[in-house]
Amino acid sequence: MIALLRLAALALAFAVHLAPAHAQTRLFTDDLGRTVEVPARPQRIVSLHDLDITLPLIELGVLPVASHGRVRSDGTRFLRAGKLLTGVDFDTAPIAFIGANAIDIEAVAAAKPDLIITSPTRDTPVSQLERIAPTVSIEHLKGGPDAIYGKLAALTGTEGRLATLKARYAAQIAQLRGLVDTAGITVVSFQANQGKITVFHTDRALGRVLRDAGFRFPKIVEGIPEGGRMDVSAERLPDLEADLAFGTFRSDLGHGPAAEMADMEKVMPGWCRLMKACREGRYVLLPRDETISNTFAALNLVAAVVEAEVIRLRLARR
Amino acid sequence: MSLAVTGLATTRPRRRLARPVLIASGLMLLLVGLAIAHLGFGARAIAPEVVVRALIAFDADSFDHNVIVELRLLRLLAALVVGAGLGLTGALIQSVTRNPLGEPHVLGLNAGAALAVVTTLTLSSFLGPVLPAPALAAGRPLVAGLGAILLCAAVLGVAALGRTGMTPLKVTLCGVAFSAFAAALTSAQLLLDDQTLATVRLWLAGDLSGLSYGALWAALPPAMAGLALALVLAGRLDALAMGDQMAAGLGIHVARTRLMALVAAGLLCGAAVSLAGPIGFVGLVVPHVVKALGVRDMRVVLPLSALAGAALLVAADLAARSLFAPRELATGIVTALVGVPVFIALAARRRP
Amino acid sequence: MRTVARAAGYRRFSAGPVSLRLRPRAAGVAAALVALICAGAAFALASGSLPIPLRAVMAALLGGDVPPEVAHVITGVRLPRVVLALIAGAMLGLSGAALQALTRNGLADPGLVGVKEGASLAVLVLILAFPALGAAWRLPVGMAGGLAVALAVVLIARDLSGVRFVLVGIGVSWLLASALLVFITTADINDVETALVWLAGSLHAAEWTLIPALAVWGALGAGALFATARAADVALLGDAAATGLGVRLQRTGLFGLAAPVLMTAAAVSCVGSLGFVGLIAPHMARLVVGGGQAAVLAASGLLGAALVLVADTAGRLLFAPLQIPAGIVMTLAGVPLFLFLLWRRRDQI
Repeated sequence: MIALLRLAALALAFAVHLAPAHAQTRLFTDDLGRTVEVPARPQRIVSLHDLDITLPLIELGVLPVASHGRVRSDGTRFLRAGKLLTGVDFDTAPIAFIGANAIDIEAVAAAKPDLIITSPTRDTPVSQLERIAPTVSIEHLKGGPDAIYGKLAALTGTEGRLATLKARYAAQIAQLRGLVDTAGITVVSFQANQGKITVFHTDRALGRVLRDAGFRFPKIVEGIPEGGRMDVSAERLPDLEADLAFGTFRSDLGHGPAAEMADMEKVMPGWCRLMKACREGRYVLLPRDETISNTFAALNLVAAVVEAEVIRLRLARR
Repeated sequence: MSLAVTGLATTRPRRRLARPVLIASGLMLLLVGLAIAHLGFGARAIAPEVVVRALIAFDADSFDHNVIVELRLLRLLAALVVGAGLGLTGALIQSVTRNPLGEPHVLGLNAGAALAVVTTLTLSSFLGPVLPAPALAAGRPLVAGLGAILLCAAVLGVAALGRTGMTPLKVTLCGVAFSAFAAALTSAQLLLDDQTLATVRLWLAGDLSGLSYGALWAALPPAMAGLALALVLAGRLDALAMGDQMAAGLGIHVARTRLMALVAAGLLCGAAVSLAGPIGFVGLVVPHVVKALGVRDMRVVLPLSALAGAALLVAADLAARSLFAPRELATGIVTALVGVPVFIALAARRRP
Repeated sequence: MRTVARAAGYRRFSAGPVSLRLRPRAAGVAAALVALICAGAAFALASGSLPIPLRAVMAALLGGDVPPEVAHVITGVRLPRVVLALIAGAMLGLSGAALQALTRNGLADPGLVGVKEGASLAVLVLILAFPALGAAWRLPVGMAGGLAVALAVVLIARDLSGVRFVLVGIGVSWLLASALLVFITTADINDVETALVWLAGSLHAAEWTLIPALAVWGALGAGALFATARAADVALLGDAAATGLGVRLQRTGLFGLAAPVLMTAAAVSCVGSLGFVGLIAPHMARLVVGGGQAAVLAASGLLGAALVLVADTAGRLLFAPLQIPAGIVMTLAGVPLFLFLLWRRRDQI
C-alpha cells in the first residue's frame, strides 16, 4: 500500500516537473453543488476559516498564503488552536491575515491566490471571490472531519499525507479498543453553560475519539441528532451519569479547570457530591483549545488522554 | 391620553374602586397557582409529597430535594423579584417619559449590564491575577448590577443638563444614545471572540438559571428601596401626568419627582438585571396590559404592574424549564412566547 | 385658507420672514453635507487593503487599461459598496424622519411594526439555509419577510388607527425577536457569528446585482414622502391634540407609513439592521436644520447617506484587514456627535 502510494507520488512529482503547474486544471464539485475549474496543484491558497480549513491544510502539509484568524483583546492575531496543535500561527509562518469575522475581500485579492476555500457559513459572496480566483465552498458541519479532510486532500493533491494521518489515528483507536472492551464502558462529555449543561452529539475531537473507539453514551446523548447540541436542564444531571465523564475549560483566556468547576457549581450547587462520576473521581477536565478543532493532532492528543483514563478506570475497578 | 379621559368619564366612582381590587385578587390567585406549578413541574418528575418534604425537611444528600430547593425554589423567588421589578420599572419609565414605548432599555440599564459582563469576560485574561475565574463567575450578578446602575446614572446625569432640566424628551434621547453606544461596544467584543459569545449568549437572552441565593439576597435591598420609593411617588406621578405646569400648580417639585422616579426605576431594574440578565419585553408590555384592564391611577397601576410582571415571568420560567424538557430554553426567550398571545388578545379587545 | 391653498399657496404664504431666516442655513447645511459625501466617496474609492495608485483608480473608473484584479476591486468591490452605502443610508434616514413625524414619537422606527425583524430574519434564513443562492435574492426575500410581518400586524389589529395598531406591532416584533434569540442561543457558533455581523449592519455583501432594485424602491419612497411633506406639516400644526403615539392613518398618513415601511424593508434586506441611522439622523436633522418636514426629510436623508458611508469606510479601513461592521462604527461615532448636538440645544428641549 505504502509502496504504491510512494510510486504514485513519484509519478505525480514527475508529471508536475514536466508541465508548468498552473497550466493544469481539473473540475471539482463543492458543497454548494457548484462545479469549479481548480488548479491541479494550487500553490497560493487563501482559507476563509482557521479551525475548519486552515488547520487541516497545514496538517496536510500545505501552507495557505492567507487565512482568516482571530484577534485577542490586546490586538494580536492568531489561528484558533493553531500553535498548540500545529505549531503554525501568524507569527511563526508567512500567512497573511484577511479578517476575523467579516472577510476583507481586498486582502484576499492582495494575497494573489490561485485557489480560495470558503465555507457556506461565511457570508462573503462567492460571486465576489470567484472573480479573484477559483473558489470552492466546503461545509464544516455535515460529514465531520473525514469529509473535510477528504475534500481538502483531493483539492491539494495530498491524499498520501492524509492516508498516513489516518493510519496513525486508526492505529491508536485499534490499540484503545484492544486494551478494554469499550462497548462495556459508558462515557459522556458536557460543559457548564450559564446554569444549564451543554451536551453535544459528538463533542468535536473529544467526541470523535469517544465515538470511534466504540464507547457507549447515555440515552439522553444518543437522542441528539448528529452534529447537534442541546442545553440540558440541571434537573437532568443524573441522566448524564457515566463511567467516565469529560469536561472542558476555557484555556484561551488562561482560565484553569477551577473556572469550569465554578461554572458547574452554578449549574447545581454541590453537583460533585450529587453526581457519582464526579464524587468518585471519574470526571476528567481538558483544555478546550485541544479538543475544539477537527485536526488529527487533536485526535491523537485526546486518544492518548482517553487511553490513560480508561486504564486508570480499569485499575480502580479491580 | 384621550382614551384615558373618556374611560374615566364613563366609569362610575364605585366601580373604579371595586375593579382594581377584583383585578388584584385575580392576579394574586393566578400568581399563587403559577408558583405552585413552578415548584411542582420541571424537567424531572418529582412527586408532590417529595416537593413538600424538601421544603419542610431538606435532605442535602437527596438529589430531588436539591432540585426543589436549590433550583426550582430559587428560580421561583428570583422570577418574582425580577418580574415585579421589571413590571414596576416599565410603569415608572412610561409614566415619567410620557412615552408608551418607554422600557428599561431607555435608561440604559440592560445595555450597561451587558457591556459590563462582556467586558469583564474579554478582559479576564488580564484580570486573571487579580480576579481568578471562579470569583469572576460568582461575581457576575454584582458586575451586571453595577454596570446597569452606572450607565443609568450617566443617562440621568446628562439628561439633567441645561436650564430646562430633565425633560422627558431629553431622558429618552440620552437613554437611547447611551444604550446604543454600550450595545455597539458589546457586540464589537462578541464579534471578535466567538468563545466569549458562546459563554454569554444565554445570559444575554435573559435567563434565570445558574443563580445563587447569595445573589438573590444581594438584589433584595435595592429592589425593596426602589419599590418603596415608587409607591411613595405614585400620587405625584399622577399629577405629573397632567402636565408639568398643572403639577407645579399643585405644589409638586416636577424635576425632583421625575429624578426620584427614575432612580427608583434604576434600583428596581438594576436588581432585576443582576439576577436575570438583560430581559426585554416584560417592562414594555406589562404596564400596557394593566392599562388594558382599565386601570389608570398610578397608585393602582404600580402594584398591579408588579403582580402582572411577576406572574408573566413565573409563567415564562415554568415554560422555559419544562416545555421542551430535557432541553431548557432561556427565560427571556419564552417571556415573549408566553406574553405575546395574552398581550395581543388584550390589545385587540381595545376599542380603536 | 391655509389648507385650501395647500399645494401652491401654502408655500408662498409661509415664505415670509421665518422661511427667509431658515433657508440660508438649510441650504448651507445641505451643501456641506453633499460636499462631505462627495469627498467621502472619493476617499472610499481610493483606499483599501489592496494598494492601488490614484492614477490606476482613475483609469479603472474610466475604463482604462488596468490589471483585472485592480479593475475588479475598484468597479466590482469598492464602487458598489459606496453606492449601496449612500442609497441605503439615505433610505433609512428618510424613513426614520417620516415615521417619527407621522407617529410624533421620537423613538418610533419601523421596528414598531416588525418590518426590521421580519426582513432580517428572512435574509438570515436565506444566508444560512440557502448559501448557494446569490446576494441578489436578499432584496426580494427580505422585503417579502418584512412586508408579510407588517401585513400580519395590520390583519391582527384589523384597522390602522390608534394605539391598538402600535401595540400589536410591538407584540409581533417581540415574537420575531424571540425567534431570533432561539437561534442565537442554540445554533452552531459559526452560524451565530455570521448572523451577528449581519444583524449589526454590514455592507460586506455589496454587489451591483443588489443596487438597481434598491434604487427603484428608494426613488419611489422618497417621491411619496416629499410629495406628502407639506401635508405632513399641516397635519402636525392642525392636529396638536392627537395622542403622542397615535398613528393616525388618514389618506396622507397611509403614504407616510407605507413609504418608510417599504424603504426600511428594502434597505435592511441589503445592509442588515443598520437601525440606529433611522433613529439618529432625523433628530440630528432637526437639531441642525429645523424647519418644515421637507427640509427635515432632505437633511435626514443626506445625513443618513453620509453617516453610513463614513461608518462603512471607517470600519473597512481603520483596522484593516480586520473589518468592523458599519452599524457598530456608526453607533460609536454617531452617539458622541448626537450628544454634542443635544448638549448645544440643552436649554431648549
